[in-house]
Amino acid sequence: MVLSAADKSNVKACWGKIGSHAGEYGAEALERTFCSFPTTKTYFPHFDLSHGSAQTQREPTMVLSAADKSNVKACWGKIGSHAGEYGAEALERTFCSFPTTKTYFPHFDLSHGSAQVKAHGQKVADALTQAVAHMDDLPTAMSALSDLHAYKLRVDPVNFKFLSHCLLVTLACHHPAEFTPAVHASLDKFFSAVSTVLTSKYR
Amino acid sequence: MGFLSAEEKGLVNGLWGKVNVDEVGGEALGRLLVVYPWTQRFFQSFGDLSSADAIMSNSKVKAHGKKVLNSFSDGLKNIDDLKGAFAKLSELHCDKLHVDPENFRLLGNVLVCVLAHHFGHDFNPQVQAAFQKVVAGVANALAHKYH
Repeated sequence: MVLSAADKSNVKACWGKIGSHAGEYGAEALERTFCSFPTTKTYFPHFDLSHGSAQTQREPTMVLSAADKSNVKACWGKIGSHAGEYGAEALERTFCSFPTTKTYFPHFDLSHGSAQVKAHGQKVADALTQAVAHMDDLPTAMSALSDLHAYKLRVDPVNFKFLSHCLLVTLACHHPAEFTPAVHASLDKFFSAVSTVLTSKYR
Repeated sequence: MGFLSAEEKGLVNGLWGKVNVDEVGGEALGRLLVVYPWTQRFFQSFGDLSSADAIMSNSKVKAHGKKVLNSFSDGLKNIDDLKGAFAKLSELHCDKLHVDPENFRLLGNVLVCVLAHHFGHDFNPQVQAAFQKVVAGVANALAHKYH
Protein backbone atom coordinates (compact mmCIF):
# COMPACT_ATOMS: atom_id res chain seq x y z
CA MET A 1 0.00 0.00 0.00
CA VAL A 2 1.69 3.18 -1.31
CA LEU A 3 0.99 6.69 -0.05
CA SER A 4 -0.77 8.86 -2.61
CA ALA A 5 -0.12 12.60 -2.94
CA ALA A 6 -3.43 13.18 -1.12
CA ASP A 7 -2.39 10.81 1.69
CA LYS A 8 0.93 12.66 2.16
CA SER A 9 -0.88 16.01 2.17
CA ASN A 10 -3.44 14.81 4.76
CA VAL A 11 -0.75 13.37 7.05
CA LYS A 12 1.41 16.53 6.86
CA ALA A 13 -1.55 18.78 7.63
CA CYS A 14 -2.74 16.66 10.55
CA TRP A 15 0.72 16.18 12.05
CA GLY A 16 1.34 19.91 11.68
CA LYS A 17 -1.79 20.65 13.77
CA ILE A 18 -0.47 18.30 16.51
CA GLY A 19 2.61 20.49 16.95
CA SER A 20 4.29 20.24 20.33
CA HIS A 21 1.68 17.78 21.64
CA ALA A 22 3.29 14.94 19.62
CA GLY A 23 5.29 13.54 22.54
CA GLU A 24 2.24 13.57 24.85
CA TYR A 25 0.19 11.74 22.17
CA GLY A 26 3.00 9.19 21.64
CA ALA A 27 2.97 8.34 25.34
CA GLU A 28 -0.86 8.15 25.39
CA ALA A 29 -0.83 5.81 22.37
CA LEU A 30 1.69 3.56 24.12
CA GLU A 31 -0.45 3.52 27.29
CA ARG A 32 -3.52 2.59 25.22
CA THR A 33 -1.50 -0.15 23.48
CA PHE A 34 -0.32 -1.68 26.79
CA CYS A 35 -3.84 -1.47 28.21
CA SER A 36 -5.77 -2.94 25.28
CA PHE A 37 -3.12 -5.40 24.13
CA PRO A 38 -1.31 -6.64 27.29
CA THR A 39 1.01 -8.96 25.34
CA THR A 40 2.84 -5.84 24.09
CA LYS A 41 4.13 -5.30 27.62
CA THR A 42 6.45 -8.30 27.15
CA TYR A 43 8.82 -5.96 25.28
CA PHE A 44 9.11 -3.60 28.26
CA PRO A 45 9.91 -5.76 31.30
CA HIS A 46 12.45 -3.14 32.28
CA PHE A 47 9.94 -0.26 32.22
CA ASP A 48 7.60 1.20 34.81
CA LEU A 49 4.35 0.97 32.84
CA SER A 50 2.07 2.67 35.32
CA HIS A 51 0.06 5.71 34.17
CA GLY A 52 2.28 8.75 33.87
CA SER A 53 5.50 6.73 33.84
CA ALA A 54 8.50 8.84 32.85
CA GLN A 55 9.87 6.02 30.69
CA THR A 56 6.90 5.77 28.31
CA GLN A 57 7.08 9.47 27.79
CA ARG A 58 10.58 9.56 26.15
CA GLU A 59 6.56 -4.88 10.37
CA PRO A 60 9.66 -5.14 9.54
CA THR A 61 10.75 -4.14 5.98
CA MET A 62 12.18 -7.42 4.85
CA VAL A 63 14.11 -7.49 1.59
CA LEU A 64 15.17 -10.54 -0.44
CA SER A 65 18.95 -11.01 -0.33
CA ALA A 66 20.97 -12.46 -3.20
CA ALA A 67 21.09 -15.77 -1.30
CA ASP A 68 17.29 -15.76 -0.89
CA LYS A 69 16.76 -15.20 -4.63
CA SER A 70 19.20 -17.95 -5.45
CA ASN A 71 17.52 -20.39 -3.01
CA VAL A 72 14.05 -19.63 -4.36
CA LYS A 73 15.14 -19.97 -8.02
CA ALA A 74 16.86 -23.30 -7.33
CA CYS A 75 13.94 -24.73 -5.37
CA TRP A 76 11.31 -23.55 -7.85
CA GLY A 77 13.43 -24.93 -10.69
CA LYS A 78 13.40 -28.39 -9.06
CA ILE A 79 9.60 -28.25 -8.84
CA GLY A 80 9.33 -27.92 -12.61
CA SER A 81 6.09 -29.17 -14.10
CA HIS A 82 4.71 -30.17 -10.68
CA ALA A 83 4.01 -26.54 -9.86
CA GLY A 84 0.32 -26.70 -10.79
CA GLU A 85 -0.20 -29.86 -8.75
CA TYR A 86 1.46 -28.23 -5.73
CA GLY A 87 -0.62 -25.08 -6.21
CA ALA A 88 -3.78 -27.16 -6.06
CA GLU A 89 -2.55 -29.10 -3.03
CA ALA A 90 -1.64 -25.88 -1.21
CA LEU A 91 -5.14 -24.56 -1.89
CA GLU A 92 -6.73 -27.77 -0.61
CA ARG A 93 -4.62 -27.59 2.55
CA THR A 94 -5.60 -23.94 3.01
CA PHE A 95 -9.33 -24.70 2.72
CA CYS A 96 -8.95 -27.64 5.08
CA SER A 97 -6.87 -25.98 7.83
CA PHE A 98 -8.32 -22.49 7.56
CA PRO A 99 -12.00 -22.95 6.65
CA THR A 100 -12.68 -19.19 6.63
CA THR A 101 -10.72 -19.04 3.37
CA LYS A 102 -13.53 -20.96 1.68
CA THR A 103 -15.70 -17.84 1.89
CA TYR A 104 -13.85 -16.55 -1.19
CA PHE A 105 -14.91 -19.56 -3.25
CA PRO A 106 -18.65 -20.07 -2.76
CA HIS A 107 -18.90 -20.75 -6.49
CA PHE A 108 -16.33 -23.56 -6.44
CA ASP A 109 -16.61 -27.28 -5.88
CA LEU A 110 -14.02 -27.61 -3.10
CA SER A 111 -14.10 -31.40 -2.76
CA HIS A 112 -10.85 -33.38 -3.07
CA GLY A 113 -9.77 -33.61 -6.70
CA SER A 114 -12.04 -30.81 -7.86
CA ALA A 115 -11.27 -29.69 -11.41
CA GLN A 116 -11.88 -26.06 -10.39
CA VAL A 117 -9.31 -26.27 -7.58
CA LYS A 118 -6.84 -27.96 -9.94
CA ALA A 119 -7.27 -25.17 -12.49
CA HIS A 120 -6.98 -22.50 -9.83
CA GLY A 121 -3.89 -24.16 -8.38
CA GLN A 122 -2.29 -23.99 -11.83
CA LYS A 123 -3.14 -20.27 -12.05
CA VAL A 124 -1.53 -19.60 -8.65
CA ALA A 125 1.53 -21.67 -9.62
CA ASP A 126 1.93 -19.84 -12.95
CA ALA A 127 1.78 -16.49 -11.17
CA LEU A 128 4.45 -17.63 -8.70
CA THR A 129 6.63 -18.89 -11.56
CA GLN A 130 6.39 -15.40 -13.07
CA ALA A 131 7.28 -13.88 -9.73
CA VAL A 132 10.34 -16.13 -9.40
CA ALA A 133 11.52 -14.97 -12.82
CA HIS A 134 11.16 -11.31 -11.84
CA MET A 135 12.26 -11.19 -8.22
CA ASP A 136 14.24 -8.01 -8.87
CA ASP A 137 11.09 -6.09 -9.69
CA LEU A 138 8.04 -7.79 -8.23
CA PRO A 139 5.82 -4.66 -8.20
CA THR A 140 6.15 -4.24 -11.98
CA ALA A 141 5.90 -7.94 -12.81
CA MET A 142 2.82 -8.42 -10.63
CA SER A 143 1.12 -5.10 -11.32
CA ALA A 144 -1.92 -6.60 -13.08
CA LEU A 145 -2.47 -9.17 -10.33
CA SER A 146 -1.99 -6.46 -7.77
CA ASP A 147 -4.78 -4.43 -9.41
CA LEU A 148 -7.01 -7.50 -9.59
CA HIS A 149 -6.63 -8.27 -5.88
CA ALA A 150 -7.10 -4.63 -4.84
CA TYR A 151 -10.08 -3.65 -6.92
CA LYS A 152 -11.89 -6.85 -7.78
CA LEU A 153 -11.04 -9.77 -5.50
CA ARG A 154 -10.30 -7.82 -2.29
CA VAL A 155 -9.10 -10.89 -0.41
CA ASP A 156 -8.37 -9.86 3.18
CA PRO A 157 -4.59 -9.68 3.70
CA VAL A 158 -4.62 -12.28 6.50
CA ASN A 159 -5.43 -14.98 3.97
CA PHE A 160 -2.15 -14.57 2.08
CA LYS A 161 -0.37 -15.78 5.23
CA PHE A 162 -2.53 -18.91 5.33
CA LEU A 163 -1.86 -19.80 1.68
CA SER A 164 1.87 -18.97 2.01
CA HIS A 165 2.12 -21.31 5.02
CA CYS A 166 0.35 -24.11 3.13
CA LEU A 167 2.67 -23.61 0.15
CA LEU A 168 5.60 -24.14 2.53
CA VAL A 169 3.95 -27.27 3.96
CA THR A 170 3.32 -28.64 0.46
CA LEU A 171 6.92 -28.05 -0.62
CA ALA A 172 8.22 -29.58 2.64
CA CYS A 173 6.17 -32.70 1.95
CA HIS A 174 7.25 -33.17 -1.66
CA HIS A 175 10.85 -31.92 -1.59
CA PRO A 176 12.35 -32.78 1.80
CA ALA A 177 15.91 -32.66 0.47
CA GLU A 178 15.48 -29.11 -0.86
CA PHE A 179 13.54 -27.85 2.17
CA THR A 180 16.57 -27.04 4.32
CA PRO A 181 16.22 -24.40 7.08
CA ALA A 182 17.91 -21.76 4.88
CA VAL A 183 15.64 -22.49 1.91
CA HIS A 184 12.60 -22.58 4.23
CA ALA A 185 13.54 -19.07 5.38
CA SER A 186 14.06 -17.78 1.81
CA LEU A 187 10.75 -19.23 0.61
CA ASP A 188 8.91 -17.74 3.57
CA LYS A 189 10.39 -14.32 2.77
CA PHE A 190 9.58 -14.70 -0.93
CA PHE A 191 5.92 -15.59 -0.32
CA SER A 192 5.73 -12.71 2.12
CA ALA A 193 7.17 -10.32 -0.50
CA VAL A 194 4.68 -11.54 -3.11
CA SER A 195 1.81 -11.12 -0.63
CA THR A 196 2.93 -7.57 0.14
CA VAL A 197 2.91 -6.68 -3.56
CA LEU A 198 -0.52 -8.24 -4.09
CA THR A 199 -2.01 -6.15 -1.26
CA SER A 200 0.00 -3.01 -2.05
CA LYS A 201 -2.87 -1.16 -3.76
CA TYR A 202 -5.57 -2.04 -1.23
CA ARG A 203 -5.76 1.50 0.08
CA MET B 1 -17.68 -32.39 21.16
CA GLY B 2 -14.46 -31.32 22.88
CA PHE B 3 -11.69 -29.32 21.29
CA LEU B 4 -10.97 -32.02 18.67
CA SER B 5 -13.39 -34.55 17.24
CA ALA B 6 -12.70 -38.22 17.92
CA GLU B 7 -11.46 -38.58 14.36
CA GLU B 8 -9.09 -35.60 14.73
CA LYS B 9 -7.74 -36.99 18.01
CA GLY B 10 -7.08 -40.25 16.20
CA LEU B 11 -5.18 -38.47 13.43
CA VAL B 12 -3.09 -36.42 15.88
CA ASN B 13 -2.24 -39.29 18.22
CA GLY B 14 -1.61 -41.61 15.29
CA LEU B 15 1.06 -39.33 13.86
CA TRP B 16 2.46 -38.13 17.19
CA GLY B 17 3.18 -41.72 18.21
CA LYS B 18 5.74 -41.87 15.39
CA VAL B 19 7.44 -38.57 16.26
CA ASN B 20 10.92 -38.50 17.82
CA VAL B 21 9.99 -35.68 20.19
CA ASP B 22 13.55 -34.85 21.20
CA GLU B 23 14.78 -34.54 17.61
CA VAL B 24 11.75 -32.73 16.24
CA GLY B 25 11.96 -30.28 19.14
CA GLY B 26 15.49 -29.26 18.26
CA GLU B 27 14.63 -29.04 14.57
CA ALA B 28 11.54 -26.90 15.17
CA LEU B 29 13.25 -24.47 17.54
CA GLY B 30 16.26 -24.25 15.22
CA ARG B 31 14.09 -23.46 12.19
CA LEU B 32 12.19 -20.84 14.23
CA LEU B 33 15.47 -19.03 14.91
CA VAL B 34 16.57 -19.33 11.25
CA VAL B 35 13.30 -18.40 9.54
CA TYR B 36 12.28 -15.67 12.05
CA PRO B 37 15.64 -14.34 13.27
CA TRP B 38 14.06 -11.76 15.58
CA THR B 39 13.05 -14.68 17.82
CA GLN B 40 16.75 -14.99 18.70
CA ARG B 41 16.16 -12.12 21.14
CA PHE B 42 15.26 -14.67 23.84
CA PHE B 43 18.40 -16.71 23.37
CA GLN B 44 21.32 -14.28 23.67
CA SER B 45 23.09 -16.70 26.02
CA PHE B 46 22.94 -19.63 23.60
CA GLY B 47 26.26 -18.95 21.89
CA ASP B 48 26.78 -19.12 18.12
CA LEU B 49 23.56 -18.30 16.22
CA SER B 50 25.37 -16.62 13.34
CA SER B 51 24.24 -18.88 10.48
CA ALA B 52 21.59 -21.50 9.70
CA ASP B 53 24.22 -24.28 10.12
CA ALA B 54 25.45 -22.84 13.43
CA ILE B 55 21.88 -22.62 14.76
CA MET B 56 20.83 -26.12 13.68
CA SER B 57 23.94 -27.71 15.23
CA ASN B 58 23.90 -25.59 18.41
CA SER B 59 23.64 -27.93 21.42
CA LYS B 60 21.77 -25.39 23.57
CA VAL B 61 19.17 -24.95 20.82
CA LYS B 62 18.72 -28.71 20.60
CA ALA B 63 18.43 -29.09 24.36
CA HIS B 64 15.92 -26.29 24.68
CA GLY B 65 13.92 -27.52 21.69
CA LYS B 66 13.72 -30.93 23.36
CA LYS B 67 12.42 -29.31 26.58
CA VAL B 68 9.80 -27.26 24.73
CA LEU B 69 8.49 -30.11 22.66
CA ASN B 70 8.32 -32.54 25.58
CA SER B 71 6.16 -29.97 27.31
CA PHE B 72 3.98 -29.69 24.19
CA SER B 73 3.75 -33.48 24.08
CA ASP B 74 2.60 -33.60 27.73
CA GLY B 75 -0.04 -31.01 26.87
CA LEU B 76 -1.38 -33.28 24.13
CA LYS B 77 -2.35 -35.77 26.84
CA ASN B 78 -4.80 -33.13 28.13
CA ILE B 79 -6.14 -32.05 24.78
CA ASP B 80 -9.59 -31.22 26.15
CA ASP B 81 -8.24 -28.86 28.78
CA LEU B 82 -5.23 -27.14 27.27
CA LYS B 83 -5.85 -23.94 29.26
CA GLY B 84 -5.65 -25.92 32.52
CA ALA B 85 -2.65 -27.93 31.33
CA PHE B 86 -0.65 -24.83 30.36
CA ALA B 87 -1.82 -22.39 33.06
CA LYS B 88 1.43 -22.42 35.05
CA LEU B 89 3.59 -22.22 31.92
CA SER B 90 1.44 -19.33 30.70
CA GLU B 91 2.15 -17.38 33.89
CA LEU B 92 5.86 -18.18 33.59
CA HIS B 93 6.07 -16.99 29.96
CA CYS B 94 4.32 -13.73 30.85
CA ASP B 95 5.73 -12.85 34.26
CA LYS B 96 9.26 -14.21 34.08
CA LEU B 97 10.17 -14.81 30.45
CA HIS B 98 8.29 -11.88 28.84
CA VAL B 99 7.62 -13.76 25.60
CA ASP B 100 5.16 -12.20 23.12
CA PRO B 101 2.54 -14.93 22.44
CA GLU B 102 2.93 -14.26 18.73
CA ASN B 103 6.09 -16.37 19.10
CA PHE B 104 3.97 -19.40 20.11
CA ARG B 105 2.01 -19.05 16.88
CA LEU B 106 5.21 -18.81 14.84
CA LEU B 107 6.66 -21.90 16.56
CA GLY B 108 3.40 -23.80 16.04
CA ASN B 109 3.52 -23.18 12.29
CA VAL B 110 7.22 -24.09 12.11
CA LEU B 111 6.39 -27.34 13.92
CA VAL B 112 3.74 -28.05 11.26
CA CYS B 113 6.39 -27.49 8.55
CA VAL B 114 8.80 -29.87 10.32
CA LEU B 115 6.12 -32.56 10.59
CA ALA B 116 5.36 -32.11 6.86
CA HIS B 117 9.08 -32.39 6.13
CA HIS B 118 9.39 -35.63 8.11
CA PHE B 119 6.19 -37.37 7.13
CA GLY B 120 5.67 -36.23 3.52
CA HIS B 121 2.48 -37.65 2.06
CA ASP B 122 1.34 -39.08 5.41
CA PHE B 123 0.98 -35.47 6.54
CA ASN B 124 -2.08 -35.07 4.35
CA PRO B 125 -4.50 -32.09 4.46
CA GLN B 126 -6.74 -33.70 7.10
CA VAL B 127 -3.81 -34.48 9.41
CA GLN B 128 -2.44 -30.97 8.89
CA ALA B 129 -5.83 -29.43 9.71
CA ALA B 130 -6.01 -31.39 12.98
CA PHE B 131 -2.49 -30.27 13.92
CA GLN B 132 -3.25 -26.64 13.03
CA LYS B 133 -6.09 -26.81 15.58
CA VAL B 134 -3.71 -28.29 18.18
CA VAL B 135 -0.94 -25.71 17.71
CA ALA B 136 -3.50 -22.88 17.75
CA GLY B 137 -5.02 -24.32 20.94
CA VAL B 138 -1.63 -24.62 22.64
CA ALA B 139 -0.65 -21.08 21.59
CA ASN B 140 -3.93 -19.72 22.97
CA ALA B 141 -3.53 -21.70 26.20
CA LEU B 142 -0.01 -20.33 26.69
CA ALA B 143 -1.31 -16.80 26.09
CA HIS B 144 -4.34 -17.24 28.35
CA LYS B 145 -2.83 -16.01 31.62
CA TYR B 146 -1.17 -12.92 30.15
CA HIS B 147 -2.05 -9.64 31.77
